Order: sequence, then structure tokens, then C-alpha cells
Amino acid sequence: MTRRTLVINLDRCSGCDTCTTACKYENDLPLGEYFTRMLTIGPTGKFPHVERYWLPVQCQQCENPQCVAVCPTGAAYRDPDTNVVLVNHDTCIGCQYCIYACPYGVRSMDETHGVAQKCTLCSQLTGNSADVPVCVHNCPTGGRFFGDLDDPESDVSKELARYGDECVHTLPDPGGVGPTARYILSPSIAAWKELI
Amino acid sequence: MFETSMTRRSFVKGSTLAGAAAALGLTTKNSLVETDIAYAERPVERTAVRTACHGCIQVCPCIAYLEDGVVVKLEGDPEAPQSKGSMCLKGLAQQHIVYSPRRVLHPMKLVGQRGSNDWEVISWDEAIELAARQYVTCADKYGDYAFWCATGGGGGYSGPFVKLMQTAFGSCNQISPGACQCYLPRKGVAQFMWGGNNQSIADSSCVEPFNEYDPKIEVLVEWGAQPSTSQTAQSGRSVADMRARGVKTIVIDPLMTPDAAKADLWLPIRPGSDTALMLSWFRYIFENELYDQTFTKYWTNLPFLINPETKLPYEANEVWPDYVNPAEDPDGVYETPAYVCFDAITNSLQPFPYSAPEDSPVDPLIFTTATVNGVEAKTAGQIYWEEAEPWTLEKAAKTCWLEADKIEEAIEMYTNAEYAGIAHGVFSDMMENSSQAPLGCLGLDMIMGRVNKPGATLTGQGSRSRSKTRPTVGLIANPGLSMISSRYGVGWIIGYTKEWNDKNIAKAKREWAEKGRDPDEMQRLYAQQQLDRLGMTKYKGAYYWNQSNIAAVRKAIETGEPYKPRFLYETSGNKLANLGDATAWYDVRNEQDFVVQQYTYMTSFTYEFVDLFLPLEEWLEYETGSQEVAQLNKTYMRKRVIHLGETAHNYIVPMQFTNKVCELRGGDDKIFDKDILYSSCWDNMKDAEASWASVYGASTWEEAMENEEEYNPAVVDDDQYWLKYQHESIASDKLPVGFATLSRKCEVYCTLMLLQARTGWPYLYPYEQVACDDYSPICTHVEQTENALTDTEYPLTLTSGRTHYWHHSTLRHSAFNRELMPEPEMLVNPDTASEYSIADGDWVKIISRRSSTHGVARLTEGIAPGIVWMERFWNPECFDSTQESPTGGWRECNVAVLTLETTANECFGSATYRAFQVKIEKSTKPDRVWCEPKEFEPFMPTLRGELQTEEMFQ
Repeated sequence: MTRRTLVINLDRCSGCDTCTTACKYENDLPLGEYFTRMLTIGPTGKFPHVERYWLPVQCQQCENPQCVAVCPTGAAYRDPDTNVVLVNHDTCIGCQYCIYACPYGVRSMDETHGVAQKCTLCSQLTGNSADVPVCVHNCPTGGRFFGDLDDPESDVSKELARYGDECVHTLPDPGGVGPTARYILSPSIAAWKELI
Repeated sequence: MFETSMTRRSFVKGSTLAGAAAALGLTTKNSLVETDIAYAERPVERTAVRTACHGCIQVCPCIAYLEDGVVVKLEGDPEAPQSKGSMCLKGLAQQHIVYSPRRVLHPMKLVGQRGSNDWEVISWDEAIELAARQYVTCADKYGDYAFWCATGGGGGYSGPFVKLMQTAFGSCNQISPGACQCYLPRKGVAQFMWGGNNQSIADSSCVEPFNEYDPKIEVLVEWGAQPSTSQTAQSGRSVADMRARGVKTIVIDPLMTPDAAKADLWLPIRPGSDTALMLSWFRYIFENELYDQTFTKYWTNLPFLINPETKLPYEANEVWPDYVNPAEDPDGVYETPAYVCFDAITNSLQPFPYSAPEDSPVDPLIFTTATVNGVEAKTAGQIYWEEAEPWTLEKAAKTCWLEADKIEEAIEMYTNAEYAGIAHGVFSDMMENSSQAPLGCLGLDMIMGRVNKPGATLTGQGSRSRSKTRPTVGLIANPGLSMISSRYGVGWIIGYTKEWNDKNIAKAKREWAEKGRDPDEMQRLYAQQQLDRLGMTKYKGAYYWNQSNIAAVRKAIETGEPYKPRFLYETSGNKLANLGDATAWYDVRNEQDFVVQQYTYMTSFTYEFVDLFLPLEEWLEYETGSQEVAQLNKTYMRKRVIHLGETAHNYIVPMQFTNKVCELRGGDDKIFDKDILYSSCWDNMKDAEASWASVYGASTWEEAMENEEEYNPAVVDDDQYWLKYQHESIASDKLPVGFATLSRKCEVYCTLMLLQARTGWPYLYPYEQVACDDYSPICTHVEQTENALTDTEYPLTLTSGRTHYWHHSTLRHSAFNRELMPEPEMLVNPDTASEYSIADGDWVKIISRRSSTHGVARLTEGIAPGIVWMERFWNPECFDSTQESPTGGWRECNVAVLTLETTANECFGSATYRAFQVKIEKSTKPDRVWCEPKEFEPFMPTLRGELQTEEMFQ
């Protein structure tokens, strides 16, 4: 099986928002719309005994995506070859069920075309495996990795292999959606916070 | 060519071809608006051009992708040695900035009053003629000193030629907030102390920590440095990679910056108290004998006995008149004095000649007092110890608002590592301690022997760091000129004898005579310009970059004393967002006869001050192939990827103006020295390209461009770049090379600080400036005039720094950056905020003794109670054509209106841009300021349909 996803190393991420705008230029998003957003976690604690990290949040490429489950037309789907979660704009009716169903709030409406939109892992660049998403390519801290979670030779697998289990996290998953995106955060930088 | 699945339709959608260019009275040629469906569905060819980003002071190689001649994408170049494919949001923003409706594509003349924002397009011929005629009228009436010029910082769009422009016109005033308030003090003090590079990461002087060829550093101290936000994809990437290699970091910063958040130890210091902390480090290191004994004894001047009257080291022949200095150059070219120490071997006063440590006849005591010529004299080390002695960990902790055990932990981390160094950020350049702080940071690395060693921040790279003779340094190093004395016969090159310096001066004068100019007159006039420069009797350290004291210039404009600068040639963006006490500057705007500005965008400064605007190329439009475009050992070409309108090259426009002035006056010799400008400006692109070709080893620029794979980048081999122990190699005089200082050693006790205060030596030799009080030769604690320890009326200390989103003034027009950071955030501890009933997200008014401005409160535990942090800001939307009642956009949200121009560092005259006192109150959003994403629609690109044009002044 192929599970294309992102691994984001928060030990490196400095919250610069380059992923946010690189995505907007590449995917031609208008003002106010984003496929990925930067959350600042902290500083938590009481000055000066505090810690802080940044958490970029985009589609988590779930195993059991709720957006797909609730879509009445099948427009929301996982690509059979890569398992990337995508939207078929020809069949999307703009009902917004998927937007409400997504536990991570990373889908939005393309108001111009009346359809749901989301991160495609830059499928226009990565579809033929020729390139990586622009957020990965340009990340100023070299903290974003793209590839197949099931391929031990992929960039994501190799980066994950450098860290112990205590450093590898996923966003909370109360609904059992099975996010495949992984976040690396070493306890020496900050304790991972469960946000939901 | 690259395969692509994009269609023209997607491009058309991306091009918001609004007519907002009408804001500047311009029209856009929207050739793509009429695109038909069949054309739009056809795949387009995408081509790639390798160039180099200039989104901040640094350089990241990048790739621009074009479709139909329009830049549709930028991305980092994976081959880049530091950025490795990264490109940050400042750089990416260029794809909007270059096509922004706010770009100015033609010369513009103000037709209304200043502040009316009423402009008309004129031709370049008209513009250059107008500027030159105004100059001639003004200078003919009021003299050469009526002319002055200005620029921003070293990373600006206009280069170092501005330092030369004042001289070319026989004037003496040039200001740059990005000099005495940014980098000049740290760079200058490093040159004074060891003649080598400095501890600034941002300026690519400190790069050894990023050495991946032979990585050694174990601990890096980032003292007030924030590479992750300042040079995000370049040194930001490098520190991320460095930390991932396991290097430990100590971050000393009032704010929990991104680098502080990743640090192994964060010392949240009270702004402005840094020199107290430095002295506590000295004390701890001296007391616990953690310093490098051999290096401190033999490679620093701390063992030298100091004459208490002159404060200068005794030379051996002052004590022993017949002493023969074994290091004396029999040819009389180089100077290597012998000094006086107290020798532990003989337990007596002894001459201390220069030699390799193992060849030294003495074992000098670093800390002692001895009788010299009947006078009790201390060693420089003893003087340093006595200055540091009161600064116990506990006293420093109290003064700096830190925990004593954390200070100790930091010192232990720094000293225990075999390979470590200090990186010193810009903070102190913007405070009253701008000379004392680098004396401290450099001195600490020097007593630890961390000079020219693996991992040490004070390690030179490449051939420039390697000398085969006794090293020399010419201060007032100008672009393209090794030293000003080689041109006018003014100034002393350190390391050479008086005999040689006098010969060098005579040679310069001969060259003037050969050119038919009176050599004595040229020397005298140049020296007089230096003596008459505003503020220089007090702040002589500013001679290092030929800078005027900014406050003295403003005062002279206001009062006409001692003379009135009247004609300004401005080459940067928004002075009203960058100068201290911006309101005081606004108040003198009408004291200017004529103001010319060359830049890419109109700013608040344009709005309030400027009569004639000369449009420059954005970085996707101009070419450069010089050492300014280097990342570590690789120098890249910056290429002309596109070209819009009549924009011109930043190094050519000043020459056009200068040539026209000479023409109107009737000859090139009718200004003081036109030719000096040619060391960094050109008449046309052909001349510029010829000078760049050699950087790449190509015979012509055309050849370099046509065979780019061969020439771009120019590479220095790793083993020739990452050099070490340069000072230990043997020079032509059979002695170790040493350092480019008076003593040939690291001057932890910096004698040049004293010498320049007294006469302006070495800058002005054989002339002398009026003496002022001595500048301290060592780190002493300097508290800000306005500080939290004494100020009850304005109880909060405001400090500042960069965020990820901005660098050049242009970037405030980036809609994609502004929607993420629409207004400046005033960071404040929740305990402090609650005292003022301020909640997170509230608009606040920040009030200093100068003025007031606004920001949005962000409550954070990442800063101490009693301190607020806000970045400088300005709001170009305030004079957008959509505004009903426009303003210059510099009062609404701008820290510069709060800052001071008056309190100043003793040596450099650095004004206080950080660490001063304010009070705050809850407020409301100022009018005109945009906060919602959709409000930034008028900043979205509209010029993609512009016709491609040729370079002006080819």
C-alpha cells in the first residue's frame, strides 16, 4: 500500500509561515483562504519557565477520512494509487458537509467555483512523483518531509526513523479517523500538547 | 523547459488585472484580459531561470519560473550551500511585489505640495535634468555642503556607493540608520580589536558555526541574535541544521524568540542590561581561571602594562631607551612594537617582544600591578579584572532580571565546550552600549582563545583571512578602495610604519598631480570634509563608515548651524519608519530645498518629503554578479528575469545624476571627485557587466551568461575557504602572521578606542579632529538613559526585533504577508497587561516621551513583566487611492515615533531604537489601517500584463 503524507519536524519549525504562503502562491488561493495554517503553541508555563513550539496544520491524510464518509456525491475521495485525500470538483456540489466533518478544520469553500477545497499535497507537482509539495521544497528550516509512509526508503520514513517513539506524534484522533501525518517533537524542545 | 499540467486558464485566474495602478496615475496593459478559451486551454511552456533572492540582507539562490514572460513561481535552489532549496516568505513575496499596483514604473515629479501625494509621470531625461538643475542651483547658492545623501541598511536595494557620493560632490554628510544603529559598531569594534571579521550572523561574518565541511562547534551563544526570523531561509536554515547536528545553543534575549524556544538555555535578559551580564561572564571566567592561558598571555594584549596617564600600553623603548626590538622591520615597512610586561620567570619587569608563544622570552602575568618608570601601572588584564570584579553572578542577576544559577549554567556550557563561540546580534547597535557590548562579546571569545579555531565565530574564511606578511588594516575601507588614504592622502594604515604611511600619502598626492589637480588642495579639502562632517567631534567611531551623526544632521537642518544640508539624495525606502524620533524628522521636511529618492516603491518618506522619485528595478529585474551575492563559498549571479516599465539599475541612476551635474557645470572636474563613484557605480550596464565577469572567471559577462553551467556559481574550494589558525602561519618576517592591529595581537584592551577619541586617528592622519572624552577601551556597564530601574513615569521598557514577515520597506505591500500579520503585535506579559486591563487582541496605545503609536496586544509568558516588545511597522495602505482621507502611514503603528535620537553611544553616536521607556493604555484601531485579509485586495498584483521592456541606460 502507498500512503503519501507529510512528516513535519517541529524541532526545526520556527513558525515562519512560509508553508502558508508558498501554498497560496502555488495553489492560487485568494486572500483569507489557506490550505495550511500555522498554530503557535505556547509559550506554556509561567515566565521564565516556559516552552513553545509551532504546529503547522493542514490535511492530515486520514486513513478513515470523515470528509470522504460524509460526502453525498463521492466527490471527496482517497486516490486509489497514493491514498491522498482529494476533491473531485466536477462532482462536488458545495454542500460543505465535509468541511464540518473534518476534525482538523482544514477544508474550506472555494467560493469562486462553489466547491470544497483542501491541500492536495500539490498533486499538480507530485502526481507523477516528480516533485515535492512547495511547502516541503521551500521550508526554511528543512523541517517538512513528503513521501510514502509505507516505503522505508521514503523521505518521511527516513526522518521518522531518526527519532524514538516519544518524539513522534499525531494530532488527536477522538473519532478514529487515523491521521497519517506525523509530527516530530522532542521532549527536550517542548512537551507535546493534546489540543482537542 | 519543465513539464507542466498548468494551463493558461489557471494563469489568467491568478492574474488579478485590476486597474489599481491608477493610484499612481499609471495604466496597465492588460493583454491577457481578452484571452480566448481555446488559447487558455493550451498548455503553456514553463521556463526556468536561476537567480538569487534579495528578500532580506542575505542571498538565497533561487529559481524563477516563467510562462509567457511572466514569473509564475519562485522556489529555492536545492544546490545552495546554506539554504539548500529553502526560500522564505519574504523572498517568495517577490512574485507579487514585482507586479504590485504600487510599483512605480516611471520617474515621477511631485506637482502638489509635499504630503499631497500628487505626482506626474516625466521622462528619465526630464527627471535627471530636473535633479541636476536643482542640485546646481542649490550648491551654487549655498555651497557644496548643502548636498547630503542617505541610505538604509547594508541589505538595501542601493549599495555602498552612498558613502562615496558625499565625497564625489565635495560634501561630507551621509546618514544611514542601518549603520551606527546596525552593524557598524560590531564590525568596527571587531576591526579595531583584531582586524578580522565579527560575530554577526546576519551579515554573514560569523559563518564557522555553519561549517558542514568540517563541523566542530559544540556550543553557540546567540546573544541578541535571531537568525530564524532575520535571515529565515539562509542562517535560519543553518542554525536549524546546526542544532540537528547536536550543537547546543544558549540564547540571550528578552523575548522567547523561535531560536530561544529551541535553545538548551534561554536567558531572558532585561533589555539594555547586557553589558552587566558580559562583565559577570568576565569575572567568572577570570576568577575560575577558565580562560585560555596561552592565548590570553601571548595572543592578546591583556598582559601589557598600561601607562595610567595615557591609558596606552608602555612600549619597551619607553622603559629601556636602548632596547632593540627583535621584531623591528629592517626595511621600515611594517610595524611590530615590543611592549612591557611583568615576567613570572624573572619576577621582574621585562620587554615583551612579539613572537610565537613558544619563542617568547617571557612568561607574562596577566593580572598584576608593577612600577614602571616610577609609576604604579596595571596590566590591561588587571584593569579588566577590576572593572568586572563587582559583577558577581548575584549582582548581574539582580541587574539583568535573571537567575544567578542560570547565568552560571550558561557560562559553564560556554567555557566547558572545546569548540564554542558567541554570535552577537544587532540589539546593542541600537542602544547606548553599542561600543561596550561588542568589546565584551569579542573580548570573551578572545580570552577563551576562540579565534581562528574550529567552531569559533571569530574565524576568518577564504584568502582574505590569510596574510603572508604582517597583517595590515585600512580603516575607512570603501567599496572598491582599499583605503581612503590611497586616494587623497588622508589616513593611516595600521600595521605599517609612519615612514611607509607617509610614503603612501606622498604617492596619492603624486597621482593627483599627474591628473592635473592640486594635490595639496585635494588632500586639504578631503580632510576638511572629514573634519566638518556633522557630529564627528564627539562620535568618531562613525568615521569607520563615513557616517554623519543622524541627530546632528537633523539639528543642522533645523537650525542651520553650523551649516544647513538642503538637497537630499535618498536611496532607501522609508526613513520615517527607521529613523529615531520620526516626528522630529517630519517637522523639518520643509527645511529641504529639494529631495530626490531612488527606490522601487513610494513610502511614507516619499509621501512627506520627496520632490522627485526615480524608479528602481526590483530584484527580479536587476542583475548583479558581485561578492554581494554569495552564500558561504559560492557566489551566485542575480539575473534580470523580467523587466517592467522604465525602472533602472540602482548603481547606474546615481551616475546619471552625477554626469548631468558635471555637464551642467561644464566639466567632470567641476565637482570634487566624480571618479570616486566609479568604484561602485557605473555609467551603463555594459560597464557593470565587465566588472562582474571577472568574479566568475569569465572574459565577458555575455560569456558567463551563455555558459552559465560553467560559471555560476563561482566556487572557492572548501579547503581554501574553511581556513583555521591563520595567525599562527609564518609571515615574510619569519614571525607568526598575527593580527591586523597595532600590537599584532588581539586587542582585548582596545587601544584604538582611545586613539580615535583623541584625534580621529587613524582616519584623519596627518590631520587631527577636536578631542572628546576618551571612549572606554574595555567593556563597561552602560545603562540606558531611560531605564526601568529609575523611570517611574514611563514604567515599561520597550524593545524590538524582527518578525519573519518583513525586511525591505517594499514587503509591507505584500498582501499574503500582511494578511498573516496585518498589524504590529505588542507582546506583553499577562501580569503586566492585567495592570492596564488589557486583554489579548486589544488595540493599545504605546506612549513614549516623544510620541505615541498603536499595536495589538498579544499576551505571552515569553517575556518578563515590565517589558513590552513590538516590531517597527508602517502602513502603506494609509495612502492607498481607496482611502478617503489618506496619510503618510507612519504615525498609526510605528515604533520609530517612540524611539530616541538624542541619547547616544559614546563612540558611534548610536541612537536608541530599542530599550527605552513607555507607558501603555487600551485604545482602538487607528483609522485607515487594514486588518482583514480581504482589505489587502488593492495590494494584489496587477502588472503581470505589463509589456516586457529593455534595461534603461544599457
